[in-house]
Amino acid sequence: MSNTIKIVIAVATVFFSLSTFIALFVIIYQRRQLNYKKSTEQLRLAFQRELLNTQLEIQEQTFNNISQEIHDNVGQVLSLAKVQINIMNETENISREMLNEVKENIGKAMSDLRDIAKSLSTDRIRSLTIQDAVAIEAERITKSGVAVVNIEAEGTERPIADHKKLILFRIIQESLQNCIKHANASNINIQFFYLPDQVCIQINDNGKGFSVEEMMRESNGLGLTNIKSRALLAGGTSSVESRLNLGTTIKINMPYE
Amino acid sequence: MLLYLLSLFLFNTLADGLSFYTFSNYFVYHIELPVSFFFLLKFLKRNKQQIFYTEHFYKAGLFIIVLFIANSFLWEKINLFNSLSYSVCSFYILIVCLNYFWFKFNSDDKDDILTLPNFWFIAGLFIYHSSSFIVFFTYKIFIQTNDQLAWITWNFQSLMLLMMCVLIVIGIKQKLKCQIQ
Repeated sequence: MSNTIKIVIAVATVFFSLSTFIALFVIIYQRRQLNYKKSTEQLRLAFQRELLNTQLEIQEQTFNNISQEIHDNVGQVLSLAKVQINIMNETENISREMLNEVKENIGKAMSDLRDIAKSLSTDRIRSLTIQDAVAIEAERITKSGVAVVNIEAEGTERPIADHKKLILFRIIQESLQNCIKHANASNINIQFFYLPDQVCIQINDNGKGFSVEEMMRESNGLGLTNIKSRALLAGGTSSVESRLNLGTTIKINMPYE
Repeated sequence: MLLYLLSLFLFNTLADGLSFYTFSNYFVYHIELPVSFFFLLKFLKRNKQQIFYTEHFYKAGLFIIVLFIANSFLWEKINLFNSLSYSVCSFYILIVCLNYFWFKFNSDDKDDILTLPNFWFIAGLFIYHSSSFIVFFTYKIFIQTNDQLAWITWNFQSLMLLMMCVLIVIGIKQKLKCQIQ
């Protein structure tokens, strides 16, 4: 074979290899891009789903709180006022003292209803800072008498993105519910540490504590997993430390943006 | 694309038939090139949005066809193989294909590229013309110098042509699949 022909075949082969490589490169790059977009989209949908669930749970909790408040406070007070009015009606004795008492009870019922109206809904949470929203929840729990909730803060408070605020609030709300229902805690401390790029929240109680490993084994630790997955989805991290009879500490780190 | 393939097939078969009977078949290539190139331009224009084929490319292509015809009468006459015309044709197609790949590389596609019929068509054209460019460019020289081994390069070109046809057929299959869905 003449040298020229060899060279032509060699050059043609090189161009063939190069063109095949270019075509393959475009295929691989485009497929990788597509996979990346799909996983990003899945993450986004998972986040949207979680956000929606969080909103629904907050709403549910709000409804439960409202119904409890109405039953425990407003309903009782108005029933008492009705009884007093009935007594006055039956005895035909309208005493000023009893009228004042009825007036006070109705006033208390109105005040309780006003407090209920200010209940935490998702829109309300959006309009408040996370610390203020948690403070309202803490005040509600303390007022109910089941536990005393204290709030402390260190550093300058900075605003958190709305969608993160909702998820963070729900994590804290859920943790408080767990402290009351499962830990039987009488004292709960919530500490906010405002760092330059994130907020660290620590919730500790004086409840009965539990073995984290056992909890994960027995009930699949769904509640704990929920806290962790929610925090991760919002771009933060969480940890749970607990010892039997020594209380529980939940730590959540959440970037502001 | 079918018309392009059909024209390649018909003219190449005619050329092979003539060479079998030791007749000169160069004039067939002079006719084949502008005809098949015209069908290719029509296909590219019809799919201009998917292939990122602009009006400028189309006008340049039409001008090149005029050059092919002029070349057949003025420079590389019909009794010679039209190496220059084929080289220019390959070069033009390479530019169009590279343009496509560049836009595909930078575009925001939602579909898998392997399911796009146009990708297979362009890939076939790209692989064939990039490897055959040098063969076309040098073939006339080999014929003029009476190189007995010139057929080796032509057979290499034929192998690349077969590869292009395979890729184009895959593209046609994909197109039919899309139409059924």
